[in-house]
Amino acid sequence: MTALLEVRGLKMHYGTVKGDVKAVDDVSFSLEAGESLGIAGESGCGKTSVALALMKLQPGNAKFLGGSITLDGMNVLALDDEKIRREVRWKRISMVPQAAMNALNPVFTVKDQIIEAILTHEDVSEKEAEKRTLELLKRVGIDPSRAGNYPHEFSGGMKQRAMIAMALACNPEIVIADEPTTALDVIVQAQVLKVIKTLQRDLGLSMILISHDLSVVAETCERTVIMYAGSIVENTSTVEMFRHPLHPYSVGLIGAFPKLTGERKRLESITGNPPNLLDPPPGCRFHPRCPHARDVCTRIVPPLLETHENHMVACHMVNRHPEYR
Amino acid sequence: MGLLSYVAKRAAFAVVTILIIMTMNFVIFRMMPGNPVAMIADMVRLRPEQVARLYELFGLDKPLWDQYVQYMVQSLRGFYGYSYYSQRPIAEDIMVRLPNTLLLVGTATVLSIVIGMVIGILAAARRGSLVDVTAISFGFLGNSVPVFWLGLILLLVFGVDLKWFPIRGTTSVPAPTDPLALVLDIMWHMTLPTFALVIILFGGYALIMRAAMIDVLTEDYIQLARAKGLDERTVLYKHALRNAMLPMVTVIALAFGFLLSGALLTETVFSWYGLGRYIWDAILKQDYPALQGIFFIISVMVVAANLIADLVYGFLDPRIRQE
Amino acid sequence: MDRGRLARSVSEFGRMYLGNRMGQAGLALLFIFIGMAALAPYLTPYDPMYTMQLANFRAKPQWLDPALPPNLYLITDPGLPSVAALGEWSLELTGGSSASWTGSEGYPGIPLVEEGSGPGAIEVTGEPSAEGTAVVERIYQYAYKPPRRFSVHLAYKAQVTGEATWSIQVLLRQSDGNLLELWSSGPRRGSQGWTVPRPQIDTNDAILRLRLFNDILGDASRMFPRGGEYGLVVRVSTVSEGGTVKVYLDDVSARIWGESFGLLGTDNYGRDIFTQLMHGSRISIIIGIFSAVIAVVLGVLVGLTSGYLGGWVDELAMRINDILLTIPGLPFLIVLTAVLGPTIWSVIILIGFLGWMGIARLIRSQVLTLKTKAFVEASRASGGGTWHIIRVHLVPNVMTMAYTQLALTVPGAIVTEAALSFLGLGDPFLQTWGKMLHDVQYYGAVAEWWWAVPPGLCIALLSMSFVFIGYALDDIFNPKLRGR
Ligand SMILES: Nc1ncnc2c1ncn2[C@@H]1O[C@H](COP(=O)(O)OP(=O)(O)OP(=O)(O)O)[C@@H](O)[C@H]1O
Ligand SMILES: [Mg+2]
Repeated sequence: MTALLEVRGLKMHYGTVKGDVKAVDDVSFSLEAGESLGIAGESGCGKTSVALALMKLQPGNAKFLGGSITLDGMNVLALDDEKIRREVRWKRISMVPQAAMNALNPVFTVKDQIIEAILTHEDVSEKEAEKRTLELLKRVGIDPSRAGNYPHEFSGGMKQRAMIAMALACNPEIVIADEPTTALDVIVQAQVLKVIKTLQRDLGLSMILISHDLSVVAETCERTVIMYAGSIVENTSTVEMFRHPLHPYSVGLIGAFPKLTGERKRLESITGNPPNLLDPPPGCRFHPRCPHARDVCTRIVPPLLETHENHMVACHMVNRHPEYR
Repeated sequence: MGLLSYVAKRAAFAVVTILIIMTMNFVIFRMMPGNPVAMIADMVRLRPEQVARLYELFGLDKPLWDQYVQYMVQSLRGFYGYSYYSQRPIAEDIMVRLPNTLLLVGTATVLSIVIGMVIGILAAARRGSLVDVTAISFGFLGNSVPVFWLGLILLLVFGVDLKWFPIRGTTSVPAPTDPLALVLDIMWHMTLPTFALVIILFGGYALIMRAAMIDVLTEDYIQLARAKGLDERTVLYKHALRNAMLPMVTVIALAFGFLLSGALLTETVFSWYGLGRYIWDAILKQDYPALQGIFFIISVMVVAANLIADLVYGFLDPRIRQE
Repeated sequence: MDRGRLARSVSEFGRMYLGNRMGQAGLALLFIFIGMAALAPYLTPYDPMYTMQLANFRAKPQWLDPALPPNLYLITDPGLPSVAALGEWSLELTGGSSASWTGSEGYPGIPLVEEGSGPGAIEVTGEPSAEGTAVVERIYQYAYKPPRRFSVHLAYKAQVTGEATWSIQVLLRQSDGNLLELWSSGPRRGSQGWTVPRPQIDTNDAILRLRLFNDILGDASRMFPRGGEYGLVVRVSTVSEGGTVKVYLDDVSARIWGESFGLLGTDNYGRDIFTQLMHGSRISIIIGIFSAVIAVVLGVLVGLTSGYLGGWVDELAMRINDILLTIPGLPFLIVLTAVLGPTIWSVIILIGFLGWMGIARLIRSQVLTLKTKAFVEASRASGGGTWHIIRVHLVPNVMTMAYTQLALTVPGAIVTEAALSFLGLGDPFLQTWGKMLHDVQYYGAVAEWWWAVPPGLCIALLSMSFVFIGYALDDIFNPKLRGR
């Protein structure tokens, strides 16, 4: 079975006056229909860059240097802008952007912004679009009587919900939620996550949830991908990830993450800082911080290999000693 | 803060500003070399009792506070004193010329704002393109080239040398009687001064529009609009422009004073029968009350423009309109 | 900041600045104008304001039309210091007259009005009981287009003993042989000390024009209508009825006033426009920089205090700011300068005091952002006083913005001063670029582009240099815009 979305060897750099920021380097993953995938990693490791690339929404200074993005057998990177605009964006892939707080245009009503999305992609009457909008809002828990409000009249959680409603407006196959809850307080965060989870299940959506907060990913997604400095270091089911992380970085990350069970087996936190992506270290990008680094790690980039069933990891040490856990 | 209290606040600010300007005018009036009566008495050689009568008329025999109150009341009633030179009420002199100034200023404002905005938007959308370079260059030019000099040059080239346009005046002498011909005649006379003003002004507007657009284009809602699959036109002209308009409205109002000043200078060059020419004559004749009257009128116009801008802003920005 | 770091950051700044194309252009332009200002007295010998009558009024530039007459002095050696000076004159005697050079007489000048050449004069002696004339003539080949102004100067003296009359006539022999009488003393009796014709023999004199051409609007072009041989003739007639008469002539000079002069011609007073242009740079630079400094200092002070203190101080400062921003600047300046009197310093101060508002706002918002930064909070928590925090943490951080604003405020000040001068509110004792444009406008000299174009061009270029510098600084100091 081929996956709904297949990313292979994606490489995207940002050109700046100081040189190229190597924000996405050889990223591969796939997403099955109906699956929810979490991408976790520290701030600045390239999560948003990957998400934007999926819709070809990369900033103007971005350069694609290789790889492919295949959506249902169609090469997204090869499509011209007009085609992507009409057929991919929002229709097949929609998103709840990072900073959803600021993603609503302040001078239009919430309702109008959702209606606009529907009318752009579907040939329905304005009345029909409005009806659907109100239903969507109800679904995410917003009273339709508030639909005519301007964004500044909404609370943060309401804006987030409205964004989710908007993301669902054209019945997309894939929803990308980029840090959907970061700016919210814990209670609202939980509510919004619940809305997301329920909707994803009920509608059979495929979802990519991006977060630097492992608990969010753990709670919401079936599968987890861990990114470090522009590359994927580990990719497996969420359960497996939290039980048996393989990559030293994941191990550190999850070790730093308080276990609900209270068992505190490994509490080694990671020393040092993530590298400057203008000039990342050669070989494995994690090696300067890695407690197990060997000579090979400083020279050769470790490939992402399936060392155990349904468990991919990019680490020389683990690859060589699969039994090492 | 609802729209109503917003409007009330802005209106109150406008009134206070005008009162302060009037007060400053009064203070300047007291600082003038010689007082107005001495000045007139000097010019027409009056008898002592006539001088006393004049003092009474101008209220200069009363305490300072009473004089102040009288000054304010008279100003509010539209009386700014008599011109030293024409010996007529300044308000009358001004009213004859004001329409001409407004015609020139209005045309130049509309043209330069429209041209500036269009070029600014295009420049922001296509950074580094020819339009962008044009916007930046004219922005710089507008900052450095004196408008009256540009006027002189246009006059030299298109008036004196090529003789395409008249070199002075508001209409031909005698003015055509046929209304259509008159309108065309005025437009013909207006072309060069308007052109000078627009050249100097539009670049500034373009730069501001460009900066506002560039600012807005980095906003998250623009990225979202693109993600929604909207075409670039809709993103630019619907989502970005509506937001970029907001700073523009304030700037346009603030720049209105600058524009008026430019118009006054340009009028002088083209002998346009408006306030600018009046200022030139008033300075040559040291007609201080006339200068003050003009300053007051222009200030009122600028304050009014600012108030209108505030209201438009309130209308455009839902964050002020509602709540 | 220790020395080494300061030096390094200065050289780092220098490198970035010089790598900026706009910065280079601005600095190059500015250097040109600074050079102009510094070298002005060496580039031209004249005073921009007080050296008048260098040529005819509104002479054209010399390079414009070589056929236009420059300043021409018909007589090479008017002071007649030696007998040799007589050589340029031809002499014709009739009757009982003789003429010779004398070293014992000479025009001493008129105190406070003009200097004389001292000893050396022509002496014409009339024989007793005889009539005679002595005619001295200076032949001149004129080869230019007709001039507008011609003037002759001479000083004379007569010594009479006994009964005798004398008269002096100054004539112009035109190329067609026609003789124009420019001046005549009329028959005189008695002695006369050294004196000069009054009114002067000058086509600027309306009476002379009226007499010569029957037309008050005529000018010297009717005297020299075409190229050819012209002669300046001085005829001394003596009639002796027994007495003796001696007439002395000295300082005989004639000038065809230049219709072309210097690089840019002359203004309405015959002052050199090029000189005015060179000296104008000094005033514009001074006014621009001084008033910008005032505006920036005020803006920084207000912005810092109101941003840092907040509360009612901030509220008050910002309301005043709003009001001043609303008041139309140029009309306000016009009223104030008209009333306070336009000296260069009042203009500088007024422009400065009306230009700080925008800067104060920028600085204030910068301070508001800085205030929330960790290092300021830390300093406050550790008990740093207000002024300590402002001085140590805020000022250095807003200084870069202040420099940028300084450069960006100068053009406005320059253009505003030019506008005031143009309207006639400039310092009456200074000839600024704006004042030059005022003169162009006042005298309706638009068509004289060599007069109308350069001052405005200089204003524009000088302002532009500061705009360039300002934007370059902004580019360097404001990393948000980097990589544009
Ligand atoms: N337009 C751009 N030009 C240059 N560098 C960029 C640009 N956008 C992002 N970057 C850099 O690329 C790297 C990856 O950025 P990205 O936004 O993808 O990170 P992220 O994982 O989403 O971080 P966060 O969790 O903070 O959102 C960062 O180092 C960032 O500084
Ligand atoms: Mg991100």
